[in-house]
Amino acid sequence: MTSIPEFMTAKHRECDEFFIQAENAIADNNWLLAKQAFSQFSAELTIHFQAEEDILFPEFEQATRITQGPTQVMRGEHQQMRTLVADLLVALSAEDKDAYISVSETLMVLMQQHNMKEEMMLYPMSQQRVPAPDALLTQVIEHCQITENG
Amino acid sequence: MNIANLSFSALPPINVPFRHFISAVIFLLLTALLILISGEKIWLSRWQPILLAITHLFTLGFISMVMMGAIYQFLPVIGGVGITNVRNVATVSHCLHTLGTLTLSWSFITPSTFARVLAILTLGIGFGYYIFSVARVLIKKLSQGPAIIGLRLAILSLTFVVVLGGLFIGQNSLMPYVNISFFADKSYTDIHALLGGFGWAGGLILAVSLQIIPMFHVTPSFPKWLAKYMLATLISLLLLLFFFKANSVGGQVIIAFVLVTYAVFNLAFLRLFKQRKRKVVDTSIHFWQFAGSSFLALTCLYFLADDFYQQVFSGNKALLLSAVFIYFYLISIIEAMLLKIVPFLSYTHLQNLCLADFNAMSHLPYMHDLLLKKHSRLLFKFHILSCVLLILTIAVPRFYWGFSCAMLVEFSWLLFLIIRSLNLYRRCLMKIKNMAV
Repeated sequence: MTSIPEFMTAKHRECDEFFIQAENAIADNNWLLAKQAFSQFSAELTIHFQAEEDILFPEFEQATRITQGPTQVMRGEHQQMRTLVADLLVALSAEDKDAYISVSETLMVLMQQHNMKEEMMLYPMSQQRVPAPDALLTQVIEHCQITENG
Repeated sequence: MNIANLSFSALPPINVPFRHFISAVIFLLLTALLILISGEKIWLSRWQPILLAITHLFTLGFISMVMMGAIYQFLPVIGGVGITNVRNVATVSHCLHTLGTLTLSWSFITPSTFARVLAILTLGIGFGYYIFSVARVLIKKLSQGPAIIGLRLAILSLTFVVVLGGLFIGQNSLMPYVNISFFADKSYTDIHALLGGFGWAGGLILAVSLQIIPMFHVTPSFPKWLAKYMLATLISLLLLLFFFKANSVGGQVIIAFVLVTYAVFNLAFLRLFKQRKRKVVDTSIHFWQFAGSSFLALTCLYFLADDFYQQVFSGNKALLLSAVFIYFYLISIIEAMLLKIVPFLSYTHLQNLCLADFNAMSHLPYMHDLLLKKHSRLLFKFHILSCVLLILTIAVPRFYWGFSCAMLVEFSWLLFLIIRSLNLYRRCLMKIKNMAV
């Protein structure tokens, strides 16, 4: 069985893939492909945020008794990324290439530094600190599968 | 893993890294002026006192200055813990480092005991305080990733470099009762230079890029064996030079291994950039690719017969290789990193303010606005021009003024880009604060 850091990191990479597909399609002025890839990216990101905010972070907070630290910052950054994703959607709907690339560059940097904190610290700590990491991982995987299929 | 002090929002105040970046660029503007007024005679050998001053203005004034500033920022992100009392550490070590670099350069140009005493005190205390503060964070049980381990090895190398440097300044006049005359042997200077170049600067670049390149440029990861063993191998090879003189056969073999090992790292990141999936053009990648290719060329140059250097560069092999390493390699990578760090820092500090008030996000600029793409492209062109003129100057020293002018243009432009970004940051900050009122 995989671990929390491995599974969640792989999910980050999946989101990156869809994000890049959309951005590259826009660089090629292929708006149809861009809209498809963007919608997959947006859906994946939403599922990932839900898995963290509703399942992983509460378990981490309970295990470490830290509720106002890292998870709070991560929640705040999720909110900021949601705002940028909404800006991307506006640029995509208007088929405004320059506006899209400008926002996507910003989101990319924000997303990557956010991922770095999670992958280097939060996920490994969750794996170590929560009392039943395998059960927690199963819960996260089920959430992702049910939401993706639903 | 110790989580007691964990804080993802423990960013140092924005003026901490920025004061290092701005001072570093000003140091290079001073260096360009020094080159301009010194004439062509300084290019005859790397042991010319003014050239030694210029070398230290590059290595201490620019390279170490930027790297020390970047570590303040990098530690909380990769380790989750920042330096305690960072404002105080930064103020003291930055002031002493600035004063120490100036006095050390002065002591090369106009030898005086006063300048040497001042240099040894300021650089010794400045570096000592900085290394102690960073080491206090690094000895904690942070994330055990290769980036953190690499950072520890880079700081260890810096410690050796500083101690050796202190002994060089202190020999003869400052330590009359301790016999350290064996330090006059030039092979110790080579260890000092190689540990500084490959252990401290090169090591830090390696450690940081393990994390930065795959994440911020969305490439595949470095091979695991490289991330795990390369820097430790490199530092072990460098430390072997304490037992084999750099100019002996054994020493030359070790240096060859150091170059080849580091060339493998450069090949690895060049390969990663080739596998990059994003199509959006990024000038910082051009800097990385230029640096990586330059290092591969440097490795080939090292193995060329001396006849080549006699014919083209008046036998100045060491000067040519050092110049390529510092200017084509280290400065290119530092500029690549600054093109990412400067807008990122400005944005992150503003973004952190918006965590408490999401309405303030409407005042956040996009990353592009903080550093325009066309401005980055121009910086790259200026850099290529000054690189070409540097090589020309080493081959034909009378063209020194061209290199100096190209440096003045390149680094004035870089200074403008940093100040422009900081200015936009301040304007947005005012808007966000006004909104809160």
